[in-house]
Amino acid sequence: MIGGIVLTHGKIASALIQAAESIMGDVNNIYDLSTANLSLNDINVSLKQTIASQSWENGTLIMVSLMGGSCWNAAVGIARQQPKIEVVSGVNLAMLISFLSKRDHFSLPELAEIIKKDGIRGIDRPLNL
Amino acid sequence: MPLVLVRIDDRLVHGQVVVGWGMHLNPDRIILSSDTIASSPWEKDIYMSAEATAPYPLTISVMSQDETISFLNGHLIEKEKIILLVESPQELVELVKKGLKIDKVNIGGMHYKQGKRRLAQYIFVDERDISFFKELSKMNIQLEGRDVPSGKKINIIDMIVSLQ
Repeated sequence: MIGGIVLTHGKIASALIQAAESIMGDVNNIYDLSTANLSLNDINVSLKQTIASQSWENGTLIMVSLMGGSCWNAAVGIARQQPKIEVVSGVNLAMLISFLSKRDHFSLPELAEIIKKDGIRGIDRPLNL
Repeated sequence: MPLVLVRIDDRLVHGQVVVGWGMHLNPDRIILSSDTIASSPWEKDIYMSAEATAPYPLTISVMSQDETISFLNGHLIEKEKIILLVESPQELVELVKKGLKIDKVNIGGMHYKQGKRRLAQYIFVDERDISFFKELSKMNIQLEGRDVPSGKKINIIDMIVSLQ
């Protein structure tokens, strides 16, 4: 199992997971964390605790809201220090659904690349309006 | 005056600074002044990744305290608008003692740690923080708490007096 953590500003993470559940039914091995009112150190601690408590054998994919934000800074810091962690920024519902539906079929680095592409594919505008 | 904002923020370079204050002040450069981060290449990389997120052209420089002072005293930066970031009041006192000249500091994030008391939702202090704040105030530096430009301004010294 590849575990998932959605780490965002405010309540985006829990709302995104709820939205994914409303589409896909019950989901598991996916956790929401918020950076709200926490120091960088406390964000690090809650990330590390979540990862350590689950011991996902195939690794952890952390999806964060904003590249360069404190969610990104904390996640990349931990990915540099621990093995089997990937980070993708710009989490949206398309990316989260991609993660939840494809994680059993790919290795961690492959999955990170796929959900990045699926998240980008979910952003478009209609032609010929 | 090339320094458009001097800020104490324990999250250092992050969204509130790059987007919130950045859109308001249009800086050319953010200097993250920290001896520890300046000596760690991968930590430097992390903080510089916000260059890609900024909705305006931005350079992020991670400098040691000594590098910060000599950079700000140099002539190259006359035309640049700069945001200077430090992690704690202690580090700002150290910079001022090394020659940094400022008249105002923004306190934007000193998040909860055990044993610290609340001045605002994003400002928690202990006795050491308070003594560094008082030291800055004695050096005629105005201390204003404000997380984002549209946020409420907090007079830190008044808050400390009411805390004691």
